Parts: sequence; C-alpha cells; structure tokens
Amino acid sequence: MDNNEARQYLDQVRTGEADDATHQTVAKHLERCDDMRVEADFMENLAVESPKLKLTAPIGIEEEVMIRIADRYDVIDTDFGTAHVACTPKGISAVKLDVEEDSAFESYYKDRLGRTTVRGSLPDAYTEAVRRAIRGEKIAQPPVTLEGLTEFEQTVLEHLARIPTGEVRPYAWLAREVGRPKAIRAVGTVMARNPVPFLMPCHRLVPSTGGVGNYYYGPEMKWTLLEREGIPREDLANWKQRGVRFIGSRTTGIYCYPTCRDARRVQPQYRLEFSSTDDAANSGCRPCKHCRPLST
Amino acid sequence: MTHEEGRCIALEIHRGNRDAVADMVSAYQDRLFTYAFHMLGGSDDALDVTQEAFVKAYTALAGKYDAERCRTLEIRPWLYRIVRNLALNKLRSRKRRDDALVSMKAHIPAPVFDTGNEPSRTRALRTALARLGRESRELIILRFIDQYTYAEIATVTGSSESALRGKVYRALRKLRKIMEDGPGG
Repeated sequence: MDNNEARQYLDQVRTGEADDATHQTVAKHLERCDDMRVEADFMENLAVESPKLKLTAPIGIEEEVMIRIADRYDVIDTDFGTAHVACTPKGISAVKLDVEEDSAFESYYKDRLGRTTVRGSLPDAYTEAVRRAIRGEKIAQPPVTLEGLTEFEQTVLEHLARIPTGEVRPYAWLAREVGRPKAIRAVGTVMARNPVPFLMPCHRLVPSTGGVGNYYYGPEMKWTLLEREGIPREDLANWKQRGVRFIGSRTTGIYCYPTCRDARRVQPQYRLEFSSTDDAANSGCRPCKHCRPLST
Repeated sequence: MTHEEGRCIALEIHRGNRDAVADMVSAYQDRLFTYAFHMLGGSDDALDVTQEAFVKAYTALAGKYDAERCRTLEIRPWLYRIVRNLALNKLRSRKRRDDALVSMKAHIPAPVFDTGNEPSRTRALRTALARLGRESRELIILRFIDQYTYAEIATVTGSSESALRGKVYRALRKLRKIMEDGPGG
C-alpha cells in the first residue's frame, strides 16, 4: 500500500472499520509522514466537533405529517346524487350517499373505520371508478382498501367482489364460499355495513327465494343497479314468481344460477328450469363450475 | 432505534397502524432534519423537506410497497435517501431560480442562522461546511455528524465503498483548506 492509498484508509482506521492488516500498514505510514499526522489530527478534531452540529427538529413535524397522511375525502357528483368518497394511499376506503354535511361523514368514518379523514382531493381514477360502478360498468379490479374492517368482513367482501358484473348470488351462497355456511345473517350484516358499496358489489347478493331483497339505500336502487349491469327487472321478478331458482341446459346437462353467464347462453328451446338442486339432479344435470350452485 | 425495530415500524405502517407513523417521526426527525439542514446549507426548506420525506415514506409503505418489501426494508438509510432526493430537487430548483435572479443582477441574501452562543470552533465548522461543495458537504455530514460507516454511506449515496474512500478523503482536504484559510477567503 503506498502512502496515498494509506491516507484514504486513515478515516476508517480511526473508527476501527478497517481490518488489522490495514490498521498496521497505516500506522507505519503515520509514523513516517508528518503530513499524514496533521490529517489524522484534523479528522479526530472533526469527529469531536461535528456532532455538535446535530440539530433538534422544530416542533410540529409530527402533527403536520399526521394531518398530511390522514385519509382524504371529497364530495363528488354521481348518477345517484352527491357522494362522499374517502381514500387512503391503498385505495378507496368509503363511499357514502346519504350524508349531507361533511361533519356527518367525518364522524361516520371515525366510527366505522377508526381513523380520521380530512377533506382534500381524490385521484381522478378513484372518482371515475365510483362513477363507473354506479353506472353499472364492469370494473376489473376495484381500487378499494378494507383497512380497519374485521378479518371476517374483509374475507366476506373479498369473496363478494368475485361475483361478476351482471350476476347475482344468494346470501347463503356467499356464506358457504367463505367457509361459514351457517353465518348467513352475519353475511347480511356485513353487506348492510359495507363501507364501499357499488365497488364492493353488495347489490349482487339476493335472497335464495328470488327477487332482490333488502338494500341499504332501498330496494329500488338495487333493482336499478342490477338493471344497469344487464339483469332485466322482469326476469328477476318472473323467476321469483314462478319459483325458478336454477336454469339448466338440455345439451350440456349443466345447471346454473339464472344470471350466470353460462345460463344466459342457453337457447330457449334447450332451456330447463328447476326449483331446487334436487330437481336438477333428478333430471341428470350437474352443477355449473363457474357459479357453483348451493345445494337446496 | 435498531434495525429490527425499524423493520417492525415499516411493517406496522404497512398494516395501517398510524401510531407507528408517529413513532417513525419521533425516532428519525432530528437526524433527518439535521441532514436536510446541512445539505441545503441551512434554510427553512429543511423543515419542508423533512415533512415531505415522512409523507412520502408513509405513502410508499402504506400503499406501493408489499408486506415482504416492508419486512426487509432498512428504514434508516431508506429515509435518508428520500431526504437526499428531495434536498437535491430543492437545490436544483433553487439553482434555476438563482440563475434567473443573477441574470437580472439581483442580490441574493445569505441564509441567516441563529448562532446565538455557539462556540467559535463549532461556528467555524458550520461556516466552512456551508462553503463546501454539495457532494463533499454531504459526505462530511453523513460521516462525521451522523457517524455512518462507509457501508452505510454507500447505501445512501449509491457510491461504492472504495470510491467513497477517495471522495471522503478529498472532501476532508477541501474542508481543511477552507478552515485553514479562515473566513472570507
């Protein structure tokens, strides 16, 4: 190691970062070279003096940061009137139609999700996603976040989101999908408390007996949403009235929920109608692997 | 704060725990503010940069990064890198603004410090540091104020350790020259 190289190791020798061999080599150079000694002394002094330049951050940083990272909400126009929409860096956390005052939304948000939210601007993509969901358009991956919900709520809503646009399933079906076949009422409660309606499509869950059942914003809105997604109101009413719960195909020998995309392709002349899965099985049909009808 | 605790904080923030954000701020605000302050040659911008860095860190941890990345993240050098990038942006925009002013022959006042009853040796060092070039100043801050190892400095600045040896050495020579020449030179 020449003298110039040794100098570059001085600093690491000072702190003990250099290995023993380097340490000894540098020490030898140091004995012979006055210049290098001056440099070493300077470093030592600097090491003593520099930490005095440490500063204490001004007060208020934490408060400012907490305000700036609070969940944001804004009020947007939709086909169903104004909506309060909130988001976190992960996605949309709440959509609410039935509050007028910002303060009412803020206290709902705090109660429901345990976090504060402040009015601000939303990413355009989020605003657009809410409007599209309300128009009944298909959204491949709704940009939502379920932070602050219980594990059960999260599981239920995640499975709910797998029901395709334009199809409906019974409450009992979702209870089975999440592995809690008896928790039908609990699933209903999750729907009633769903903080991100439209995007997490609680309107696609209906009673096993047909029709649309209840909806947080009233059944009329549920009918409308389903109609916008392409399920004619008359069809739902008709199936309910005639007790049709499943539709099968004579050609494939498969039965589905009536709104399943596979059922809707069946030509009228090959269509079979069933009031129970037993009925369907007796006719020699097997359940569809897409909509997985629940045994009745 | 140890590396383990730092990782834990990153993961907690990722999981949506707001208290962990407060913990991150209180654990790192002094260091990051010091770093930003000296990087920027001392100005009000240091406060902005520090706050902005924490907001950016939160946005990344809570949004963009997945759990695995948060679990393995070395939070301290990572936060320094965020501050560094923000400070460099500030310096660039300041340069653009100053260039515009200079072309109008305007006078730019030097930043004012509250140096109250600071010992003269510390003041001399502070002044000398402010007159050092940006890159050299940064290395002196990380090495002598933050007492980072060369390996840690390498992760913040992106230089290799062997390149750093030369750079730190030259930065020290420059600083010594400025301090020996005394004020005003």
